[in-house]
Amino acid sequence: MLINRMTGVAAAALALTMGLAGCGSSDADTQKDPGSVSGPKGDPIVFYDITDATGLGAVSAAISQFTVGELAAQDYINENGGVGGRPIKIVKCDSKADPAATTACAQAAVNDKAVAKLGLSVAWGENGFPVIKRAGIPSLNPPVNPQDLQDGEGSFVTGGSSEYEAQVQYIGEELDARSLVVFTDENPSGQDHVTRVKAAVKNYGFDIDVQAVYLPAGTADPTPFVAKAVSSDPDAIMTNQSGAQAVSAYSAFAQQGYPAEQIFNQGGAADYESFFDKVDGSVSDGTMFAYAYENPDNTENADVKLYRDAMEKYAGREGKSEFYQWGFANVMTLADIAEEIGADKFDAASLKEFLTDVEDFPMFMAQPLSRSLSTKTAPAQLRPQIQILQYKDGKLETVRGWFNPYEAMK
Amino acid sequence: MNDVILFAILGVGAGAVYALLALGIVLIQKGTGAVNFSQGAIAGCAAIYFGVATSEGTPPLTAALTAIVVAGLGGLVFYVLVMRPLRQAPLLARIVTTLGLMLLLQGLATQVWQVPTVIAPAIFPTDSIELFGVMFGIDRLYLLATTVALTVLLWAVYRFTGFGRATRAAAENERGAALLGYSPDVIGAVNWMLGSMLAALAGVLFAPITALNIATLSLLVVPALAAALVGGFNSFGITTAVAVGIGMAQSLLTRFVTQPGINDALPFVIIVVLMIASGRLIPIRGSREVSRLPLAPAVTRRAVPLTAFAITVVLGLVLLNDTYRGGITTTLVMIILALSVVVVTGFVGQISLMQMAFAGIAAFILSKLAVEAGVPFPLPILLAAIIVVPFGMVLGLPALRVRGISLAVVTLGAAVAISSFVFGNVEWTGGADGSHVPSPELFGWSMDAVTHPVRFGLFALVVTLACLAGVLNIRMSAIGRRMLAVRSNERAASASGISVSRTKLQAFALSAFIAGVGGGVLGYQLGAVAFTRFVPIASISLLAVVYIGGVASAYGAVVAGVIANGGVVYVLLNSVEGISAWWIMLSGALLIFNAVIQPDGISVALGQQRDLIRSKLRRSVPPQRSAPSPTHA
Repeated sequence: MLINRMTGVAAAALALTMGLAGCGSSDADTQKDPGSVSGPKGDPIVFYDITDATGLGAVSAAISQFTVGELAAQDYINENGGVGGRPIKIVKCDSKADPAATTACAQAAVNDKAVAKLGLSVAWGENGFPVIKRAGIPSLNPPVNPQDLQDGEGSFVTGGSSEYEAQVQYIGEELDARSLVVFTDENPSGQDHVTRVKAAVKNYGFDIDVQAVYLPAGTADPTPFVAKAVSSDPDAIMTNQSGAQAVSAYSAFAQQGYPAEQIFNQGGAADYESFFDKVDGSVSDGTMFAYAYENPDNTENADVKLYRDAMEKYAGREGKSEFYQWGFANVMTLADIAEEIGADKFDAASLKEFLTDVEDFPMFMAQPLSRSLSTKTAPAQLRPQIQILQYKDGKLETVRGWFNPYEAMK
Repeated sequence: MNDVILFAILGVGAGAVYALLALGIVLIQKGTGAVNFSQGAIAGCAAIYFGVATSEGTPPLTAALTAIVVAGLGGLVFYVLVMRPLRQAPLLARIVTTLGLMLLLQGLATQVWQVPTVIAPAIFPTDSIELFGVMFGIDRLYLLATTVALTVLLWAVYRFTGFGRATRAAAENERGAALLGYSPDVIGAVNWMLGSMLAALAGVLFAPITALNIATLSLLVVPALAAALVGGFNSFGITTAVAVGIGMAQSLLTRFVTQPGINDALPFVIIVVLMIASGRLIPIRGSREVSRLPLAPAVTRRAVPLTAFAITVVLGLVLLNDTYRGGITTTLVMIILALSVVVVTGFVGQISLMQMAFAGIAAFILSKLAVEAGVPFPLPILLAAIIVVPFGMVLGLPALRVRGISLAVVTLGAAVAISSFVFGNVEWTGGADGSHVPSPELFGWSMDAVTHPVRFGLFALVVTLACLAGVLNIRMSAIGRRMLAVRSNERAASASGISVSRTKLQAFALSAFIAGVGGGVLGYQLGAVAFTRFVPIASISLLAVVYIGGVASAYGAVVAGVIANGGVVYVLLNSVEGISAWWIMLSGALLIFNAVIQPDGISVALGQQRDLIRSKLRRSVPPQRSAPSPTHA
């Protein structure tokens, strides 16, 4: 009787799994998993990619693009002889947007003596960062947690630290805006978003009224929140929605008749795979982005050409998104830093020391890293230079080239 | 005025979906006496399937029908294989089993579809129309009309058809209905099927206007439960009206109130407060409440198992690497948190879904004490746990008015409110900056969990042993006996001179204290306090793992800690490529499996096996003073 019941439950679970798996989405045939190229036989340089690859709290499939970009760069470097005879080895750890899983990944990175933390983890600031900071491992998490930008001793931000400030500067100067709505997540990161926008408006001396509309994490229908955001007919809306949330929010904005060219977002949302290719042109055409890397459609740039070729070769994808570029550029630049320090001396301590005093060191596919560019409110940022891109007629166009948003502040 | 109308109408969409989910919950409760916490997850899977399938070229009608039919069949199979065998199981077993289904579906959806970026095609026309001077999408009205039509249809079916009368009869008195020739199994199976189909319909209708995220969609069950609760898990009309009202109220709050979190929490809190004030309960099914309770085994020998546990932990801390040391420390923290569930739910039978909220409050208080007041380690842990006790008693007051499923829903509402109002309060929790906890030092020795994991692990072990010994002593003390008496039969306990109210409040106070200790140790382990650790879903997950371990046994808490997220088993599985991603699904499947096979929990099953082996060994060894057998004679 007991065995029959056990068998029945197991059979039901198996049937459910197979049934659901049968209707799962499949990746494009051309895509492949990078990270299989073996490099030289030396002692590997271990980076830990701690990313929300899966998990209930994972807000966007696009986050995994970081990992793919890093692994493509690993393959490229290893195929070209590694770094001073040492191969790059990126260890993946899925933080699942889950606090406990994030802590476990950080502890694993400490145990494996990782040289740096890469990837994007949304619960990193309070669950993983304190762990690796105490172990002396530099964190290169993108600035999604307040700690990422505000802790200049353990965090080193290689891009995306000035997206909000850049958007405010552009909105104030080019649109001559008088009203602005920040449409953001209701969490510490979203609160930080609003605080920084208000500070930027003040520091630029703009006369812009800033209102915040917070989107709670459990919101199933964003329409009332979008309606609230557009109800005052603001001159611009800044948002941080990406992936599935961007699709949902931008569609609602379009339904409410709000012009796409007045909606500004982070570079991470400027993603062909999970946004532009998924929505009708009427939803995405004209949308604006603060973008921390070279325009991925600008293949005349040598770095972009190398990157796009490598992505095609090792990952089987175009790689037209900031997250792919960011992951790839981080590993390429770290390899350059390892060459600079000396491959045999390259470890967490030497990297941390290097990044603490870095000045004008070239960043792949972007502007150089400089400690002197950090600010009082964002001591961890090493590269605030950024561009403004617009998605128009099926491609990204650069509407304002590289600039440092902090230079124009009072 | 226009904004009032506009935002009320915009809220109709979410309200209609809440209503469909709530109607499904009512059907399942009527038919089987179980409250289905996985209703939102079923809707989420249907919505995501619908979005993905249509994006791959399946016609919308085909995809919608497939989702609804598969959900119905899935519900039927789930009832036959899982819920039917649990008909006489403890109430908690049935609640926890649906929580297991929720986790299983969430894990499956995450594995199969990840976080899809697809847009589901609109089912209804989305043209804008002008009504009462405001412009809005006409799809809202279609959603409302569909929901109202289904409500009327269900009312008619359950009022005028034989099946409906049989369901109502079974809901009043299952044995009586069986005597009249109605099969409770058929009634249960059909209602589970219909309830699941309603959930899938809700998902399909909602898919075009929501982000297809299984975590978000699963939580739709919270407002749906509130609506079903107000409808007494009986009235279709009241349930629908309240659900639509919640949707409209949330939308209006979005427009007119800027306090973060209020639109999620306030409607729910008002409803729960009203329910407590009115003292209305879910109707008790005739033959359900006689089901037996989880075993709370007596513990006569405590020193040996505690010593063995301590030695095992010390060996693990000393011999294993830092990754496992971290896992062991997390296990110890989770054991403490699990013990808080054992006291309130296992010993007193009060189903609490807010235990992690207590831990969170204590952790934030600890941060204030350690950072702002400069109280030295480890005193903030003790002080924070003491301070959180009044919170436990106040939040335990509803238990004096409601019990069982009602209390589970009420405590879930309290967890939502605490998460929104307390943890979402930037001024108090530090908001963007978070709340920091200094690196612990004791007598000049660093106890940092990262740089000195063995030392911190040993500290966590001492605290865990103290909590374990305390709960074991409670179990064997007069307080423990009073708790078990209240759990068994409140009226009988009261007739025996036991103050039921005092015993319940004692349990909530004790459990809040223990949870507070766990939250404090967790804060020091991490060096920072993150509100994300203490959200309502964390409390649900905690109850789930404790149930697997054995909810009425202190040793069940040990098993819960070992298998909890981030614990030793998690670290072990995480080291195996490809398995860690299935963690959520595995825990859900294990929960269901355990509820069916061993509703008393792994620790009790292990204890029974141990006793069985002992008795066999005794039988195999001839007793020294026994009478000589005939062969010896």
